[in-house]
Amino acid sequence: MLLNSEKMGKNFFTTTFLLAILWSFLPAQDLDELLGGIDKDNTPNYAYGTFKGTTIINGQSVEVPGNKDLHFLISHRFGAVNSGIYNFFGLDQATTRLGLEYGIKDILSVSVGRSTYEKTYDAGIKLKVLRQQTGIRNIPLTMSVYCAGFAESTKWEDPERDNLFSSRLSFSTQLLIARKFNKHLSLQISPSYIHINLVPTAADQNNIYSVGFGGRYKLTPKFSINSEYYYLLPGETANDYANSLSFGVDIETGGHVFQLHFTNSQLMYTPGFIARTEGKWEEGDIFIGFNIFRVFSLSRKDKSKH
Amino acid sequence: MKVKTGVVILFASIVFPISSSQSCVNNNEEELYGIKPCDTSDVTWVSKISEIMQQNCVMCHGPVIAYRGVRHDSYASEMIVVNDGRLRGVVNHLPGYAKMPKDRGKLPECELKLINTWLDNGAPEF
Repeated sequence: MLLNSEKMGKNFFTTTFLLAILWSFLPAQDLDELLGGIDKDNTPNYAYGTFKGTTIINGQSVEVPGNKDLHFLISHRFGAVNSGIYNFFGLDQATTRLGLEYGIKDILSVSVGRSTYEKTYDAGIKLKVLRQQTGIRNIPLTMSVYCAGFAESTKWEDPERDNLFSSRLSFSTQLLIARKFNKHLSLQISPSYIHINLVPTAADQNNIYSVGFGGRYKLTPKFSINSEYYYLLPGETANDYANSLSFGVDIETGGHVFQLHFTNSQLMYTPGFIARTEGKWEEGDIFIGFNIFRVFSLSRKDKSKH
Repeated sequence: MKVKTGVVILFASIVFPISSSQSCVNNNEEELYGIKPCDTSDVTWVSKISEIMQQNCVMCHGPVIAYRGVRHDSYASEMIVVNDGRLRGVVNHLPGYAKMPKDRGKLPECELKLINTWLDNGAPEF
C-alpha cells in the first residue's frame, strides 16, 4: 500500500511535469500567430520581477534566468548564531554552495552546483509553464516546475560493504506557484516532493512531501524583505527534523543580487533544507547566510546594443 | 532555431524525469546490510573510542592539521574537549555547538552511542 502511494506520488509529479511542458508550448504558438500582423496593443502584459532572484531564500522561486543569461551563484551559511563570541557567532564555521544557472530560453533554465555539505553535486532544470499576464489573456499566476538530482560524494563510511552508487542520489520535484499582487507584494506556494535513495532505518522515509510558502515585500526598487517556510507533512522525517523557516532581505546592486538572511537550515540544496533541517529557532540554532547572484549576459544581441 | 530549442526542451523534459525514476530506489541500510549489533560493554579510549576518532576526526584534528587547536589523536588531548563538554556538544549537534563531523550528518548511531556511553562512564582510558 505504501509502495503504491509512493509510485502514485512519483507518477503524479512526472505526469504533472510532462503536461506542464506541453501546456507551455500553447501560449508561445498563440503569441507567434498574433504577432504576425496584429497591432501591438494586443501584446500580453507580463508581470515581471515576481521575485528578484531565482531563489527566495533557500528554496527556488518561480523566476528563471533571462534568455542566454548566466548566473553565477555563491551561497554561504555560517555556523549557529548561538555558538557565541568564541566562534564569532558562527562566522568561523561556514558551509558553501557554488552554482551556475543558465537561461536557455526565457522560460527554461538549467543549473549545476556543488555544496560542501557531504560534497554534494546537484543538477536541475526549471521550466516556467505559466506566466502571470494581462492583455490578450488574463493569467493570474506564474507557475514553474523545478526538477533536480543530487549526488553526494563523500568517502564511504564502511568501504568493505557492498556500496551502491544509487545510495548517493536524491531527487527533488517542486511545483512553484506565485502571484505578484502589486509592485510590492509577491507570494508563492511550493508543493514539493523529495526522494532519498538510501535512509538509515526501515522507519525512515525515502519519499518526503512538503509544502513551501514564500513571500517578498518590496520596500524600495532595490530592496525587499523576504520570508520562507517549508512545512513537512507528518511522518518520520517531520518527527526527526525541523521545518525550515527563514527571513531575509534582497538588495539589488547593478549586475548583482545580494540576499542576506537568517535561517534554521544550514544546508542549501533542496533535500537538505526541506528534509534535513536540524536547527530550532526557539533554541537559537539560527544561521546567518547569504546568496550572491552575479548575472552575465551571453546574448550577442545585447552586446551589440552596448 | 525555434524547432531546435523545442526539441531540446521536449528531450530534456522527458529524459530527465525518466532517468531519475530509473535510478530511484527505496533502500534503507537495515534491510540492505542487516542490523549490526552495537556492543556498548567495555567502552574505553583504547578499546573503541580511539578508533572512532581516527576514522572520523583526526584528519582535521590531529598531528597534521589541528584545526582550532583541537586534537583527537591522544587520550590527553581528548580529555580537554571531554572535560569542557565540547565533545558531547559537537557530536550530538546540541544547540550552541558546531555540528561535527563538519559537512556531514551525525556520526552513525552506534558510534554516537559508544561515545555517549563512554562519556557517561567518566571517559576511562583503559
